[in-house]
Amino acid sequence: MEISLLNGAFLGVIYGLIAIGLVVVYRVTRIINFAHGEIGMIGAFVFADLWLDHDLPLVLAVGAGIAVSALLGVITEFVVIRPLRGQPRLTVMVGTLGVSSLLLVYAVRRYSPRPRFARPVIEGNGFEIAGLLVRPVQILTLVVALAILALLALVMFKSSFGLRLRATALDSEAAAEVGVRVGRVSMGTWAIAGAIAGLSAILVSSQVVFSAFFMSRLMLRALAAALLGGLTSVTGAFAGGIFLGMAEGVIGFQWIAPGAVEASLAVLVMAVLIVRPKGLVAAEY
Amino acid sequence: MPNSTDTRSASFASRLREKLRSHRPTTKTTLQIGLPTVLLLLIAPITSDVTLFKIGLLLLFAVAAVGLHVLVNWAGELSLAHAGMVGLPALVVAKLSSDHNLSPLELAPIGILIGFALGAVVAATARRVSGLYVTIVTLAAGLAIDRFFFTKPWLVGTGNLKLTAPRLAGLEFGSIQAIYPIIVVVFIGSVFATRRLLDSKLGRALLTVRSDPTIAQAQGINVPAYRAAAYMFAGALAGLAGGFMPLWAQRVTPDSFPLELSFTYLAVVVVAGRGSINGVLGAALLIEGFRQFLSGTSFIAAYLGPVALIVTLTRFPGGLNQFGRMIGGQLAGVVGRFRPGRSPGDAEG
Repeated sequence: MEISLLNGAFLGVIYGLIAIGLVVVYRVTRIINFAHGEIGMIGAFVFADLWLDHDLPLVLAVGAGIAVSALLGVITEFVVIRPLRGQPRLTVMVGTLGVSSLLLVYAVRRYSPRPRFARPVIEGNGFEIAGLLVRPVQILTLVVALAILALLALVMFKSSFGLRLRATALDSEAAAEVGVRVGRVSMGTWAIAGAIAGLSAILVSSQVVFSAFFMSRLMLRALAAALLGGLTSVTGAFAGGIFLGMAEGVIGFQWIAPGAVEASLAVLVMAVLIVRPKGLVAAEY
Repeated sequence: MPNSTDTRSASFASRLREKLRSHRPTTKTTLQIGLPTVLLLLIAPITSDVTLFKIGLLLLFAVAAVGLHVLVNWAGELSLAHAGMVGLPALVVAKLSSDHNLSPLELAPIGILIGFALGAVVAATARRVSGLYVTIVTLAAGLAIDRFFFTKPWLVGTGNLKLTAPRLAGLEFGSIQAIYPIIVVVFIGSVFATRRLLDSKLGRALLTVRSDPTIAQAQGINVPAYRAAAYMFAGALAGLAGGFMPLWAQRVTPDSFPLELSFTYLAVVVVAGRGSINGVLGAALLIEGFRQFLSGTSFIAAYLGPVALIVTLTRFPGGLNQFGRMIGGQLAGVVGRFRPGRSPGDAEG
């Protein structure tokens, strides 16, 4: 049982990490970016191509993967989000669904739908915690997630960009009136979210079956995690991810019927929202 | 001197006559139903069975999408459980047909009941939340249907349910050409019925609920009941499409109703935009039609669907209905300019 719980917690770190990127976009634009996973997935494929197939140094390959994802975020903001500003949120979200389909089509055609080998960015034998063998890449994912949280808090609350970002999140029209360039803030937000998506995908790629669909499969859980965290709190989203992962570990341990874990998680999310319709964590600005 | 009973009878008879006259199909209604029916039926003899099969799938897809259109664009609600609402009735009908040697045609109406019940369940879960949280709750409901029911051997068998040959009242429907008119009737019937419904008190009430629930409540509209009714109506149409799916496809598996299908349905109704059902039919053709008819490995086939979705949304955020209204307005302007007895300046005025 302890092993399932711990294993679930490490799984939850992955969900939480992806959920952080979703929350970053949601806070400013009030939309759920359904292309978040695919934006990261393209970055992970670029990284794998450069590192494994073209023998580029690890740091350069990681940088290139993150940069591509950030650029994709910026392009999405410019091509889809900006023209749809002022439209119903549902329309904008369907726009991100279009981007998601487009990137998936590209990835399937460019890299094939079949799974491929993904080497972990950090290798080693790992070590045991409470009977569970923890691999170095899992620890690295946790450390990176915590570092992103700290960095985001720093940017959000200690920089002028963070102030502008929070102002835009609270009231974009009022922010524009006092001189905040809302367009630039939005673009910056999408670039940050894209970079987080790319970094998450690079770290996660070696921990799951690495194919064009690997991030899409994790997106639903990440979304649930973001939601449990109230959609506007990055720490809440990360905690929501760990909670969800641990719940998944326990349910999987207790009940091994096919589909039981997903169905139970779905019912759990519904139950949480019915009891607390605004999520478990209050919004933070 | 006529007594009061005679006066009442005469008044009742005149009211009844008036009512019947108002419900008599007009030339416009006859054309609205007749023309598409004839056109759709004329396609059958001139196309191959493969093309006809795809057209049938597209028609059933459109039936389910029309239900979601009412929910999203008229009631202002949302559902990401639509694939499950189509899939579960389809699998139940297929299982009953396979296990009890019953015709899927006779069982198809069961789909409506199941869809209706699922709509009620989703409405109950979505009742406590609002805004984007409805997206997540309905997505979770869809996920629960998908992962719980679609994985159970007692429902899906070993993945390939063998259906009984379709028959109704002693008549056998042995070929795709014989079944096709039934699908056309289901499609035309549901589109027309929805159109009538939206023109009725219910449609107007849904619009008021969507634009301002508080005002709707002040006007005496039971907002939660109308919200629930919209979900149940969407579920019933999804169930109708799902119920007829085994009859048309002759083979139904859970893979036919992946969770992503709910996103496709949602994309169709958003691309359609608020307003007419014609927008939904256009969007279904644009998104699902491309997928059905251009499926293949060609460059255009692969990218056309997503690109069309993005371009339509960014160019016409109000969807195809907005595009249709714009074209209609321009055409009216052109026709007005050339109308006899009008000076060119009249059109602008």
